[in-house]
Amino acid sequence: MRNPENVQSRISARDRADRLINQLTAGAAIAALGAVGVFGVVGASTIPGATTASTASTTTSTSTSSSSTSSGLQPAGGSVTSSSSSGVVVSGGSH
Amino acid sequence: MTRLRLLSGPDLSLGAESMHAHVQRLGPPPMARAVLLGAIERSGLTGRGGAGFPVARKWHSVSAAGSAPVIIVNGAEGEPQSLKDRVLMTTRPHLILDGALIAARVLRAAEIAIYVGEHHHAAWTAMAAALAERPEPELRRARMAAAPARYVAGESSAAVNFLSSSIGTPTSKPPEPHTAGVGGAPTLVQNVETLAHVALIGRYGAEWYRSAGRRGAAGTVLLTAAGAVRSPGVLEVEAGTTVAEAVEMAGGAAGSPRAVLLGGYFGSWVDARQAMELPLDQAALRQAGYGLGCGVVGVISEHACGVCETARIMAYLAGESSAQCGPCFFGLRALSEACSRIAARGTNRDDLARLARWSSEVRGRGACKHPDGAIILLQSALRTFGDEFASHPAHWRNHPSPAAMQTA
Amino acid sequence: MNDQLLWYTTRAAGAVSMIMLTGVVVLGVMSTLRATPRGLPRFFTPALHRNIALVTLVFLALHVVTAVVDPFTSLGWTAAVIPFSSYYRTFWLGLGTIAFELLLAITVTSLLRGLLGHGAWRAIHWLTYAAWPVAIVHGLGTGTDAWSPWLFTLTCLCVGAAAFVVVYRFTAGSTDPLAAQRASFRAGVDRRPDR
Repeated sequence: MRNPENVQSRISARDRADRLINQLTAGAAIAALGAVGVFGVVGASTIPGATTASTASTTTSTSTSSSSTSSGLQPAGGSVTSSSSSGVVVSGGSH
Repeated sequence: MTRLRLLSGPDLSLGAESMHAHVQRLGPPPMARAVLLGAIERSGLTGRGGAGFPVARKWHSVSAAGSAPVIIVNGAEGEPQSLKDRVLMTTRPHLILDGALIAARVLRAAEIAIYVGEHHHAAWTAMAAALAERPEPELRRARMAAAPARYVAGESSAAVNFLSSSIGTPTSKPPEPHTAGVGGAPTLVQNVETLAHVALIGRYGAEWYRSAGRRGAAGTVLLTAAGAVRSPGVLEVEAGTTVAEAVEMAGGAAGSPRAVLLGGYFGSWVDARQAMELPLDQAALRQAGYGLGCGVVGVISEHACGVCETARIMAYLAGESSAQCGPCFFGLRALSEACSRIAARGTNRDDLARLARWSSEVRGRGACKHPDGAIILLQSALRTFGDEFASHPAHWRNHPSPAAMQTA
Repeated sequence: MNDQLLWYTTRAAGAVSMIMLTGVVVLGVMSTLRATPRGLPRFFTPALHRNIALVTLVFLALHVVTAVVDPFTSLGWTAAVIPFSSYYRTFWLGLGTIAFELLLAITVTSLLRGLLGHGAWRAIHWLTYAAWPVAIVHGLGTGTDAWSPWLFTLTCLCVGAAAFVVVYRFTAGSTDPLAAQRASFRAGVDRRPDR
């Protein structure tokens, strides 16, 4: 009768489903790990953190507008566009 | 020949005994109160609705609950093979009403409800007419309720639910009816046959009740003889009468008996040789691992097929599920389908394994006892018809076999 | 090692946790709807939900640990367990702590479901409907990147996906597989006069 084959096919369907679940889980974990990397880089380039007297950064910089290169008088960066510095009056005119 | 008690009096074919004739034959209903409860206790009377619970203990629980109880006279008789309740209602309605009256007075009940199957017209008419003849205030206030024609509608929690909300689905217990039933009041649900016995115990006492009975059993029992017997129908026998004796009283077996279904669809299949010796007494049957149930003795002969009968019954019971819980609805359906596959297409190992495995998984997991009853039946079938289940030929190629036991 | 590494990591892990948590919620709602792709056995969706939830917790742990340890924020471990106890963005971070603890409770009770029984498990699992929005609001309130276009878009997608399934689930009618049969039986034994 076909019944033993039915049972067998249900067992193998169950095995296939289990394997699929494991594959999807592993895939999600790997994708998430990759996403942490990508988001880290994107975040770093859009909103960099405050600098201290530290050594070279290990994160690769893809954007050119990083504001972490100048001396300590520059304030901590907040946006991508170059912010106006404090204290230095550029325009002409005298007080 | 057994002395009749419940069914004594004018011939049953004459229909309902009038109040006048009833009182003339038996005297007025008894008056006393506490004394009656003592008599019922000493008689050892057990319920005749299927569970066989000691009546006095049930009445004690109801009265212990405190507030004024409700009494449900249960004549729903949802069991397809059973006829005894209908016969009793149609011919001796006043015995039943006497019993209800006694219960109402002993328990100081606020309300009596008479629950009769909606399609059981003769019984309904007889009970309604008898009720109209009664002068007692408790019975003048009593109401009739038409039980939906489903197997589970006769179950005590379904009866309570129906009287509370007009919907006849069983409910989960707790709370038990005797604690909180109709409208939250403690409720006594008692089968009509039980109340008829109460009516006679009230008049003649416990010793009189116990004076009938064979092989150490007490009282009389109403049975429905069904299936392969020459005169199927309702019999009153002394408790302790053997199945063989009862079958004789029903005209003898039609053909060589193969097995007996004892107690209705929630009972058990027993091999004929063993069954014939069994005494029809609740206590003795319990000891043997069976039960009197609703008093149906269903015989099948060698010509009938136990597998096909069981499959038919399982399909019926699965269809009667109230679909309130997964184990019953899905579990019973799966078991029934496996049974039907074996019956229709022949034995296969997988379905036999499924029957064994799923029976133990489903048992005890339901919201009510419906799946348990069906599984007890199935397990008894696997024991009694083990060879047939293991070697059942396919029937679908031939014509399907007719039902060996007709329903009432 | 760049001292910003922890800072970037916690932000990234937070964003990833949000996306994964949204996925867990969607899978969870699909489980209650008993929605399974065709050809796959019924345990597929709940099992995947469970697995992804555990992976999400790993990334959530990464987010919490890097945030606490990061010298830039100097949160200290108390902030991770006692809501509204940090000096730094007290309210929004507190929400994060709450979401974290809700998810922890949900996870622990799920792992111990056998001991607790179905009723208790189910009651606590409903807290998911609180934990997820609290986490989203925490992100919008204190997430450094939250209002950057890239993460804001991702947040909107997550909110959209979760809102869609939740609304669908609560308007789809009963998910009880027996609802129809039970109603049908009940109708058969219903003798109320007004019907």
